[in-house]
Amino acid sequence: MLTKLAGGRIYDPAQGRDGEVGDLFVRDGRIVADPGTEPDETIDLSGKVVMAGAIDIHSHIAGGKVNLARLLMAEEHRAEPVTAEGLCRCGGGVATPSTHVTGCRYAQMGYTAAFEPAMLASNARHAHLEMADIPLIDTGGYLVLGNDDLFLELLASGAGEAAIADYVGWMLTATRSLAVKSVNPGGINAFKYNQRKLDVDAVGPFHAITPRRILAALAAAVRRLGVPHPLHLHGFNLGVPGNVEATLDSIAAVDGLPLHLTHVQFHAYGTEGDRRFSSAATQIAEMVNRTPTLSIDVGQIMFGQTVTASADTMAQMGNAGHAHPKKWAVMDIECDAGCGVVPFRYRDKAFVNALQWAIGLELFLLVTDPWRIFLTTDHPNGAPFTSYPELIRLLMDRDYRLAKLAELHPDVPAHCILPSLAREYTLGEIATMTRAAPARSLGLKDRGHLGPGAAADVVVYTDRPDRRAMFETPDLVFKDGRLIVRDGVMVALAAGRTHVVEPGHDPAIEAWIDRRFEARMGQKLAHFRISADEIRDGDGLVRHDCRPGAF
Amino acid sequence: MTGLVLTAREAGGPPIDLTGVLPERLADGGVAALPVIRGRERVRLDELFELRDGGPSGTLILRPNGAVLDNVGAGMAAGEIVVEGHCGDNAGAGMRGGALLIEGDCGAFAAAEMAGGRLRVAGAAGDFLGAPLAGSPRGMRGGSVFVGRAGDRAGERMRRGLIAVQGDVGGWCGARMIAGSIVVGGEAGAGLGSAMRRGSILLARDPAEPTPGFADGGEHELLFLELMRRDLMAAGAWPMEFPPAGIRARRLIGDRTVGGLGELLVLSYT
Repeated sequence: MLTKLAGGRIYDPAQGRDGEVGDLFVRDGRIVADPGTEPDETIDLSGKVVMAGAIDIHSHIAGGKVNLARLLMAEEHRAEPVTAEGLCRCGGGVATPSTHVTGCRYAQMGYTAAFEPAMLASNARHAHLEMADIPLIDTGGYLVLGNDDLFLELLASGAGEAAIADYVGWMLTATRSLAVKSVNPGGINAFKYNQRKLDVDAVGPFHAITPRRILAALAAAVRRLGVPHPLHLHGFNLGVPGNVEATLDSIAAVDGLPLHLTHVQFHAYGTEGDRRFSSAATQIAEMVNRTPTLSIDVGQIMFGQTVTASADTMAQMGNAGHAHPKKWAVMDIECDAGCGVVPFRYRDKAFVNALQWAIGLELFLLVTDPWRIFLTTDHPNGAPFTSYPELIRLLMDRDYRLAKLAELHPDVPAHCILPSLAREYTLGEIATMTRAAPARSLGLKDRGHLGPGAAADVVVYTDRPDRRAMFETPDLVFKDGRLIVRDGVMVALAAGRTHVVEPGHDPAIEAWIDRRFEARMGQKLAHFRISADEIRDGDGLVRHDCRPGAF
Repeated sequence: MTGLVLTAREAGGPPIDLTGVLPERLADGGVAALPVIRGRERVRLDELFELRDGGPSGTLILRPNGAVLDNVGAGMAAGEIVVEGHCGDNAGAGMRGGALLIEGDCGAFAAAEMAGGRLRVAGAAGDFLGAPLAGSPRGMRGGSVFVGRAGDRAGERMRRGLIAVQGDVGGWCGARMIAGSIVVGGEAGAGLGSAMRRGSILLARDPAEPTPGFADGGEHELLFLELMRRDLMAAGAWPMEFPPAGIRARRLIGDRTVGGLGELLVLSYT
């Protein structure tokens, strides 16, 4: 069946289209070039804004810590129930919604993909089962490495770049991951030896290696394997005033190799001013602007109740005293990394929270290239993903932004440069940072654009001056060519896919890994490895090319 | 003006969630059209129940007829509900005022996080009577609950209020209790008062499985016991059998493992 989406204003940065009126043709779930034949169905989109389905590059939607957060915050599932009568199955919640509600709320905002950025190897099977249960959106996971004992032992024993790349490649394939993430490299391991702080050049306990070495080794392995997405780094000293130094150090540590810094807002703090807490967004943005191999996502905070969930036990142990409501959990996970869940309420009248909000927006407005900065709230750590439309409005509407700033703690404007930033994002830039750029960064060739061959994930908006209302309720959302949302209401369910990479590596590494599993781990290697048949019942795995050494 | 009698049209079937069907809604009219959830579907109240006037004003009389009714009286603030049969889970959960009388048994989480009012269950209550709902740090914080028997974790994390159980309670009664009073007329299971901070648990007999962490604080004559007995007898809820003159109590203080100063009071009569 051929469907013509006629006469919309198409924002497709990957194809260089910035609001030109044009037609799209959809056949069998794919965008096709104008076939010159009469379409079976024509949908008139004159005056409407048309974009590809949005992609969330960093959103904690599945895995151990998300479930722990759901258990800990059971009261928010009671407070926001979703009953079973509609398409979305019963569930609920805000900061960590149930699987079906996650998929539905994403789709209702025009998102057709979201990626779980902290999948622990030993939790990967569970994370995949859970992601497969999220309807309507494509998913994938980034494998957390850099604190796992096997990797640290390999590095400490002086293994070469090739052996480390083989280990990383084997792990990526075995856990069906899309990219490599590192969380406070070395820090989570040091925490287990009672350390509460670890800087980039501090020698860690037991294995006696520095985070700098871990970072350099992982970034090199990612390049050697040709994984499209650069090393996805959750940096050092999250949330600690003055951590900008460590953030800049970690950029230097990879020595020019591609790097993605995640939720940078939490890593862009200085110690200036009376309160010893200040914005370092300018320094970070300058570094991003002059380093073409560097990309970031912001991790904007928005005010209200949420729950923070992270593998960074070191940071979460430090945050536990701020838990609201007063309950939290920090635990080790199978020697892989860790897990810390701390509920938190960001308050607009609190100086620190209000300045965090301003720092995030400064980063958005100061980084000039929308291809290297992505729109995230580090869901649910900065705010639930449902606050994206409000965030888009803040970026696109300066007057609104200044009005909001005026409502915050009165000392904040004097501590940041946000009032002087006049930039307003354009629709084209929003389409870049939420569609084209994440797809390119992750190596998803057929997502995030509307050129021939792309998956027909298409979103149609009414161009409204209130950008929040516009992005909150798209007119139409298509997933693989199928209409799933009309006027913000679910009309059909569809299954997403799981995106993975399978980088080539020397299989000989398996014997070494097997011996370590036998000696130390809680499960056998054969059980640990996830077969392709296990992902979405063997249907829905999308493998992306790796290009070894190609940067 | 009279009350309202709701008679379930069908026995059995999926559980019916009666959230929002409360005596305070009677005055508004439109009760018949209130939305309720049965299993996966949302339906009008009058599709599931036959409605007719009856009973005193401000009273809702439910005849479950074998249907499973959840959330009966949950969050109620005033008026009276009488259930002529059994209830499902969450009966009177979050109740703030009024009275809920269940003539049969009820399921788990009855009076969970109750803040005021009175719940009376003639038969047995399930687990988590007066306990917190999942995710909350505190259980019952006011009101009174009178039940025939209770399951595990009655009065868990209780903050204030009174639970009087005529017969036996299950394990972990009053566990992590913060304050408030529990009276048990029958046997109490293991873990009684475990990790309790404050509050009083009155027992008609020695605990069969004493919880470690309680220190013997001697025998006392306590004036409040006599006052409590009179009050509960007036309410028909004093669980001990023999008519008393002069109650004495052996006081066990704990749970000392968490630095608690709660008390288990084992009653005897002179």
